[in-house]
Amino acid sequence: MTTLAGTVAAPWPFGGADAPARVVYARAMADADESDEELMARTGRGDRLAYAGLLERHLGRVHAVARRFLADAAEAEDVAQEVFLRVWTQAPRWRPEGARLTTWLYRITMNLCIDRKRKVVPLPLEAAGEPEDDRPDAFRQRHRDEVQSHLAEALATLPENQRAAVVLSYFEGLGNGETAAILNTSVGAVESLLVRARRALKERLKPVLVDALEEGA
Amino acid sequence: MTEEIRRRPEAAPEDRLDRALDRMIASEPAVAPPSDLARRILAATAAIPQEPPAVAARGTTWSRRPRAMAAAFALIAAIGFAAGWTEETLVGDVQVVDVTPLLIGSDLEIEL
Repeated sequence: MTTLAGTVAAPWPFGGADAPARVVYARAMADADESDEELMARTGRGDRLAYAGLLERHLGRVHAVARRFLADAAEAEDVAQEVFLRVWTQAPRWRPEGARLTTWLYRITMNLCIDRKRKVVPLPLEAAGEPEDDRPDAFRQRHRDEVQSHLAEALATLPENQRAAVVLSYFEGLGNGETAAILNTSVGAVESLLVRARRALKERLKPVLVDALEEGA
Repeated sequence: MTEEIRRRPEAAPEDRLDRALDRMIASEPAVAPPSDLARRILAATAAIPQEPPAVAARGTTWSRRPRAMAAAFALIAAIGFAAGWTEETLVGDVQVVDVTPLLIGSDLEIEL
């Protein structure tokens, strides 16, 4: 903060729209103690510092969910940007009633992901090719990449609701109650989705899992 | 046992497959956004106006509570009658404009 303070010629209104983005972002680091609701309320009053605080706090998980669900880095960035654009524009209308802010964020993220998945025809992963790597640990890294690629492919074959449940529950570590709230369904339905998703993943990944069992034996 | 599983993957016990799947999911590396994404989003939203706050919250609230509205009307009427109102005060004097013929059908002798 001290170093950044010297980069501007004159003070600007705290949270004013004319503050440089990097300065606003850096200042938001100091707002770690405020609750999501407080930050959202300030964002609703046009406070860009509070908005930067929300970005700092939640961008990682929003991006991670989109990345897992879409298996596409560029699409995930677009979704994350769209989610936080909505946070900014709709903050004045947001009321801290019922669902938590994170639930709302995850819900928007999942809806945008599903919308995009329905529009985009994915390229086969094999089409991307892989550069040769001569490092000593290249074999191990390549094996790990292959396993991840198998898992990503298997995830991509799941129906949308099962994939969403797996991403939220297994990768994000959310409880079934919050996952149900995000997916707008019941806890029982989430449990059922997870059971079916596990069954499908095991079936599809069985050769890879058997290899892993052999390596572990 | 392992050799048998290798030759016939369908022979793998479910619980071992479950554990292997859990390990595979757990070993997935964390996904981090590009380091400049937050700043790019912040810069992109700088010129975008926010939507105005929701208006007419009170009216909206009342219109969503028909029973409360009926109760309030009944309370006002009760207080009014206690203060000496008559039925005509509330619904108008039926002697002034008799709309009964209009309601039950045409009456050629009606005088407007």
